Amino acid sequence: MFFIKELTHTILMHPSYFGPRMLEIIEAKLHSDVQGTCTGQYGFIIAVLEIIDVGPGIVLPGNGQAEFKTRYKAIVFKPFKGEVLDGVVTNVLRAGFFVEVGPLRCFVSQQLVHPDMRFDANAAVPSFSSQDQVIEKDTKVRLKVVGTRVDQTEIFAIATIKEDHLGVID
Amino acid sequence: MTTRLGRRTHLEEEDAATLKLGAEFNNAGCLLISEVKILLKEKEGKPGVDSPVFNKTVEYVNMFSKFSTEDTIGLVRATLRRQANLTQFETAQLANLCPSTAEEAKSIIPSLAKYDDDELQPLLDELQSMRRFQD
Repeated sequence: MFFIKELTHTILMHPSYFGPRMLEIIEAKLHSDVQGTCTGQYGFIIAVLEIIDVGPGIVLPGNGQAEFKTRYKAIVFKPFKGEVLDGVVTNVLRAGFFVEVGPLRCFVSQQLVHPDMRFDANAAVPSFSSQDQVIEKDTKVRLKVVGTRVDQTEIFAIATIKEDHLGVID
Repeated sequence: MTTRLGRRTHLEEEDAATLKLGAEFNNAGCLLISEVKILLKEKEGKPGVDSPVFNKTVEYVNMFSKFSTEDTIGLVRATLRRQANLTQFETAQLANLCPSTAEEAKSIIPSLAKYDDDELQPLLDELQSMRRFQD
């Protein structure tokens, strides 16, 4: 699910940046620091929409750097267990297939695919197929997240299509 | 015993099926894929936004956005607001997935089970027709 979320980020500024263009530099630094990152708590931070407040900028005793506690609004994407999402298949293996839902990578194990759908080793491209459906690279599928794993820099999801109203979509 | 129970509720697992999104997201504003598309279009090409996460998201929202104009999105939001008890999450899921029958809606968004089919169906029909008749 995409959310609009208020977040904070602390920026340390070297005294050489203090001056008329300081706000611009803080803004640019905030964008480059947080956009495209991912944390377990907030999910993927896709884009900063607006900066609400950069804070007073308190000079740290001892080294002269100023600390700005910025507050900003951002578009974030976080997957939840039990959520149904649409995605695109990127890679099909015997053990299952990978689906990309925007920045999120999901894996659907062959055990979580309907038993009618079999891995087809003889096809030109690796695929899962039943009589009327084929899952191969670039197929759009609707899936349900059954679990997520959070790494330092990425969230990874395990998903199923073995329920009603899930599977290939057009 | 009470402390153990207390700890368990504290560590309660996030589960979209029962609308438990965790402390950070329970009251956060949900965005429709179509809204993300419009917001990101304004950002595209600006310095500092060009990351793999951003590009993949742009690609994704362009592919799965169901409603194309701000006007239609406004209408969709207004329609879903009429069913006053829908949470943000349910609203966004309905508009993102556009289920065609009440049974399908309840199956892919389990928290909708509390509504009657007769309540949901007109809402879903309206969403479908808005999707069909947008330019």
